[in-house]
Amino acid sequence: MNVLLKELKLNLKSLIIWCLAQCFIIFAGMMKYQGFADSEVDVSALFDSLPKEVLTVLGMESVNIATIPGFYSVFFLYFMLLAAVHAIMYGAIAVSREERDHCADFIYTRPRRRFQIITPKLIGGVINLIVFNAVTFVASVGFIAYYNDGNGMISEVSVTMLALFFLQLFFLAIGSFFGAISPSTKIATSLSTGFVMLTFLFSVIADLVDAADFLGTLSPFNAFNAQDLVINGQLEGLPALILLAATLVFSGLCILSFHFRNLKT
Amino acid sequence: MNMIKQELRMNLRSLITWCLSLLAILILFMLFFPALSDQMEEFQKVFNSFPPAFQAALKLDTITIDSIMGYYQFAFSFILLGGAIQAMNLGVAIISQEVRMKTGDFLFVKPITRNRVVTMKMLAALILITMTNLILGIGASIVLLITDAQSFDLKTFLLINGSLFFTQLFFLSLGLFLSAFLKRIRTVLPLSLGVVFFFYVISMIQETVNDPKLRLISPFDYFNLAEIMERMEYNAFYLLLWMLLIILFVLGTYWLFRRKDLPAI
Repeated sequence: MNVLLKELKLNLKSLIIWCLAQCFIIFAGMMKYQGFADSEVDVSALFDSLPKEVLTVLGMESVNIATIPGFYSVFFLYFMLLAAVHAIMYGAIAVSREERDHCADFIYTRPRRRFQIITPKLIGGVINLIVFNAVTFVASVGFIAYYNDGNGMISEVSVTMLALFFLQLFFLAIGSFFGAISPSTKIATSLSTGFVMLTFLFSVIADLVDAADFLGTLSPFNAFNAQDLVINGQLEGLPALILLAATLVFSGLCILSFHFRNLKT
Repeated sequence: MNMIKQELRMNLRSLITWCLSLLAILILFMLFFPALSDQMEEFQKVFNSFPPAFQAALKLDTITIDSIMGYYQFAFSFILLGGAIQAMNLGVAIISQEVRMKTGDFLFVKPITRNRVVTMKMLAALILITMTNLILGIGASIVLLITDAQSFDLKTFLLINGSLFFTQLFFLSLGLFLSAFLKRIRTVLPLSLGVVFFFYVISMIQETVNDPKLRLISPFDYFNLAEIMERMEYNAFYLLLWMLLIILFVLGTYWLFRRKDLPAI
């Protein structure tokens, strides 16, 4: 319990900054929606006829961004990117923080097993993710309601946030796994950066080139389809299950490899 | 001079890693160029069937990812992302590492002013960024010439590659400023990755909504690649803004760091 409280306190400031950044992103995006809504007439017809390569280059998927749900579905990628960076870095640091700050001598000499210390740290991470997710939810519903005559699309946004939460958990687990297997925080965060960049590029290329669809299956950024989530309000079960399974596996591997780790003092 | 040499030596490995990763991003994209250009041929007919007014409004004439330079410009936006992370990292780390690695006691007690230390470190960072750009420029021109030597256009190539240098300088000075501004930085990557991805998402929003106000805070759009391709020159206003911000950040770094309370061991 003490470990959990300490974790939450340590991360409070960075969590607040992340949440503010997220609110700003939603604000900055939705602010200009009005401009799109005004010119709806031609745009909708035209966008349907454009090939997806062109839309990818333009920064839009093949959805009609002149409607609120279509416009909001574009946001899912932004949320994923920021949430991935937040979660993976949290995981990478939470596990190796004590060694970085040279205070491992104080916590790991207590009469507690290592997993009893790591588990509350990971739970603290999950709480951070939930707060991040909840703030995104509230900000989204608020801004959507403002531009959509009071209709906040609560059910669709909830499904979207649920999908985002699965991704967050996955990235937290991967990050903590990197933290547990690397000798230092620096290497853990470098590995995490590489992982986020590589999977992001995979998803971009998979969207662009038909022949590269196999790269998309490797990328968590492609696990969910923003259109299904936001427009149809449907969450695909299989990717969610795979992500959840991967989360459990990597969390387990993290606890296991941390158990055998040679702690630097 | 000793300081510059020392910095270069310490950063050599990360320089090589970054150059290789940036080149790898480019090669990854270029590998899929043949598949994409086959795919795009079919859509060329669709484009041509649009009325000219629509083509102009959507800037379809500027999206030419089926030509090698157009595709290079598209791929380069991801190199910009990577390069920004590298530069930001370098900027945040290069001064703050003395405190973080507890070597400040050895450097800041020497009979040189802090301003001189900052200047030397900035010069070292500048050399590292310049080397990254040179190596990437040479590597990229080889890759492009191998893929399609006929349509290689030197001026476009230089303009596009120049935007990497300028964007990197921006993030370098932003990183320097942040490292002088923040009280203590324990791990560099979460900070730099968070900031860079935040601005990256802003630039993606900017691509969709195209708002001049938002562009002011979107450093990735100061040198907008699509615009550079179209006009074959940089946008003077944003170049000026870029220069102003860099000067502010650099002066701010000097001013803040001179007054900064550096913790001893």
